[in-house]
Amino acid sequence: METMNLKDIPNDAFRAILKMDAKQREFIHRFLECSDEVQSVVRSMFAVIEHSLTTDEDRQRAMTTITDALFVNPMEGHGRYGFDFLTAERDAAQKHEQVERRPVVAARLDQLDSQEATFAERLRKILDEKNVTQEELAVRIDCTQSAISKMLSRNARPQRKTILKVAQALNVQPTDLWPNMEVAAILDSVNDFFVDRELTAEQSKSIEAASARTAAKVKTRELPSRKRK
Amino acid sequence: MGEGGDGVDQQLGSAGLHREARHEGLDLSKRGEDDSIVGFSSLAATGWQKWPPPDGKRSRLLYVPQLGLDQKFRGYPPDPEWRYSNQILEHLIGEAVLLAKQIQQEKPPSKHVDLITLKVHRDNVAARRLYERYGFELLHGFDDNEHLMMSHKLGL
Repeated sequence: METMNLKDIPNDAFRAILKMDAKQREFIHRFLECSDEVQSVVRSMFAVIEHSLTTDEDRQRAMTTITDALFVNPMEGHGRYGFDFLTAERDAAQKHEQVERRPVVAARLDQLDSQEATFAERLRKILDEKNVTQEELAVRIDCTQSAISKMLSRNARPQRKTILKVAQALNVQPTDLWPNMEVAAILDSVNDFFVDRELTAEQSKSIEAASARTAAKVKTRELPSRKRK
Repeated sequence: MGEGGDGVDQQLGSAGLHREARHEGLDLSKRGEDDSIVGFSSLAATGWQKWPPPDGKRSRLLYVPQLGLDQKFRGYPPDPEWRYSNQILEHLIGEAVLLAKQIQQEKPPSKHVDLITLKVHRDNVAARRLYERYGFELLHGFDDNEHLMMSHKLGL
């Protein structure tokens, strides 16, 4: 193995490492533990994330791929969501401060999980029936074959708008793919909420202007049974 | 629905649980006299990257990911004081003020918030009028094909 002369490492690199928090160090550690092949995939996903033409949806999928690649726990079943998403869901279902709510949350998760499974099964069946390949579908809805593959293997939950695009591309009803579109609507708001955005100059200016305006004087109320901690 | 008969409790939906787990989120449901859910809203603090990208300071906003009223309860009861839509908005804004004040006390100034934002379908005139009555104004630059973004400056 070739050894590196420490003098060849720029001081900036040392400074950057010293500034890392525990999560960032864990990320680097996990990345370095991966095979060259996986590291290559992760690098390509970062390229996707940073590309100016990448859509929010594909950026989200790229992030999920990275998380899956680095944080998949074989004990939890290969290919499930990365630790952050799963942990957030599981924690809410198991550690919610209102004990009586835990089964409610768990039931909602089961509902979403079951519908996601149904979606994957139905999509696979329709693709077979219509003799459409993953590559062909990817072209029709303007995404990558990898994204289709991830939805089929349940490595990524589709957004509602993706379900609508797939339905249109395959000439079927959205409910032929996802049984309850009301539940699917949750997917949109969840995804939308998690996606950090780079604001444009116009958006930044718009927020500044909104913050600068006089506060709205409106009636508010705290309803009787609302309990704050 | 009369005074004292309108219970609101925390009902955690699938979206709500993510906010609860990762953001300072609240999830509010609205129940009618017979304990049926008439509507819901949710509220959370979020951070978008501020200009210039990619390293600009994060712009902190309160965001309403979901707000809805069952169609059969729209416009009811006729008395504006007790109309469900008004109650939800007034409760939501009241909670936003409390949350913003709590953030002011507990977080550094960079995380303080003074705006609530939400998306409204551009064809949903009734919803837009309702939000405008409660001080929401269009936030330009965030429109997409179906939705407009609105913001409300909180009175803190």
